[in-house]
Amino acid sequence: MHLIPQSWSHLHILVSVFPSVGLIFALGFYATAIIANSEAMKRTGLVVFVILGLLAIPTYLSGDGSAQDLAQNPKFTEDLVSDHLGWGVTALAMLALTGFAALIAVFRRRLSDNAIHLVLGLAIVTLGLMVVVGELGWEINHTEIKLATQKTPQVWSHVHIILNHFPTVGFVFALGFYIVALGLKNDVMKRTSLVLFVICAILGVPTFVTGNASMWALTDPPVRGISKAMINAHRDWALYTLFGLAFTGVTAWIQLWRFRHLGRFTNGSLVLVLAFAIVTLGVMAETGHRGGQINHPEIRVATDVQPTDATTGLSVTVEKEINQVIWFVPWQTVHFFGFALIFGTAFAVCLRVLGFWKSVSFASVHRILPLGVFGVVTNVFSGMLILQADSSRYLNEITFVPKVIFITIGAIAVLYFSVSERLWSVKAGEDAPISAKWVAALVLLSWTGVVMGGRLLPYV
Amino acid sequence: MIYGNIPVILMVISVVSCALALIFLGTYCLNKILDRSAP
Repeated sequence: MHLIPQSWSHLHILVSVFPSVGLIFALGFYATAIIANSEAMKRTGLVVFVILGLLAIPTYLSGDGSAQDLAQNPKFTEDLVSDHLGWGVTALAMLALTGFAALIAVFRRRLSDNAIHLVLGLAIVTLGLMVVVGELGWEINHTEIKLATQKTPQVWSHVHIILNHFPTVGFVFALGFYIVALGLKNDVMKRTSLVLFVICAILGVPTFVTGNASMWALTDPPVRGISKAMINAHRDWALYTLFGLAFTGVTAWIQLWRFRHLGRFTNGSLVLVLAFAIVTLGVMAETGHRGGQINHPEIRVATDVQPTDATTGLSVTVEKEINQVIWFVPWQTVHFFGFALIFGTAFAVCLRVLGFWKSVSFASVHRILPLGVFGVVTNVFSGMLILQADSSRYLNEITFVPKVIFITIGAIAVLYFSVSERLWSVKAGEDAPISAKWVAALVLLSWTGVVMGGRLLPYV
Repeated sequence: MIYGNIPVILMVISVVSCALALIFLGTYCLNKILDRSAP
């Protein structure tokens, strides 16, 4: 497999996701810097905007090169290419302007609020344009998202080709911020990067699920030009990525949890997160590359050895084995234990936040949170195995989509309990802030939705 | 009938025991480390 692009098209689909999807993570980091009022983080955010502004150049050149290379290819419509190009040039000009404003701001000795807000405003406008450009870009190649002949709706494929860039590009940004934070020894930046790692790990779940559904949307009945063997190779790597994300996400969350209690990080555990993150990024790069090859024949080169046998591979083996009662029932039982752990932990912590057991400080109930996180890991692993038993049926049940959305919301909302300063300072006898109560209600509602969505799967 | 199900029952007990043991061990170690490093 070649990860280094050898054509304009390959370079374009690789580079273009950074100024678009990456901009969301850069904006999130920058907004955190403004809220936390961290000078180092603001300057790092500005440098990232400068780098993204510079990426406008290779993005434009590779886009222009791809348009010329593929002009004779009947698969690509000229109108769609020119729409994408027109909006693309506008968005890249705005991106370059954002980068230029950030460059001026970062070289000033004192960061003024006006300059910071100007860059923020420009970046938000750029992001709005990037959403339009991105959508027009997918439509050039991904004609399969309009197919109406498949048993599984194409909306899954559409969501997957967008969503998969969030844990991947986000992970690159998280790793970059983390390395800078370790170098600067900045605790706020370390915590922000760790939160990003956890968010990427959580987003890995809906990405894996939508990927699984996309497989059925593209293979049942078969679509011309789509190889099941290549999809299998991609999803084998996606499985490894899911494990990598789980390890990185859990170790990152444990650092956040420990920091809450100790008020400091330990170097050994930070290095452990870094090691997991580097390995995961490598695995993820290969996963993304194999995913891109499924429906981008224009980026394949003669030296690529493509899989042709759709009956081999880890995912196929898991599918076969988990269909045996002797494997299915134990993992389903473990899945129920996982739910009990997650809901039990969330219920206890949320009730304290909502005003029950005021004699206990929030710090005391915060100590039981790892049980819930272990429950989430147990269920991501067991749920992924159970899903493989009959993924086509599960994914097309009406309660599956809300279940996965609630998992994502519920898991991200729980992060608030480990990062909120106001909530952490709630002592015995004190009431939690109203914002924390809203988050607690959201967490309870989400996990209730997850349990109900899961239980209803076989019946509605 | 019950004899045919014995392997499944044994498998459920084994897998659940392993999962719960790992969760117990993880929780125990985390709390032990936290208590040791507490100021």
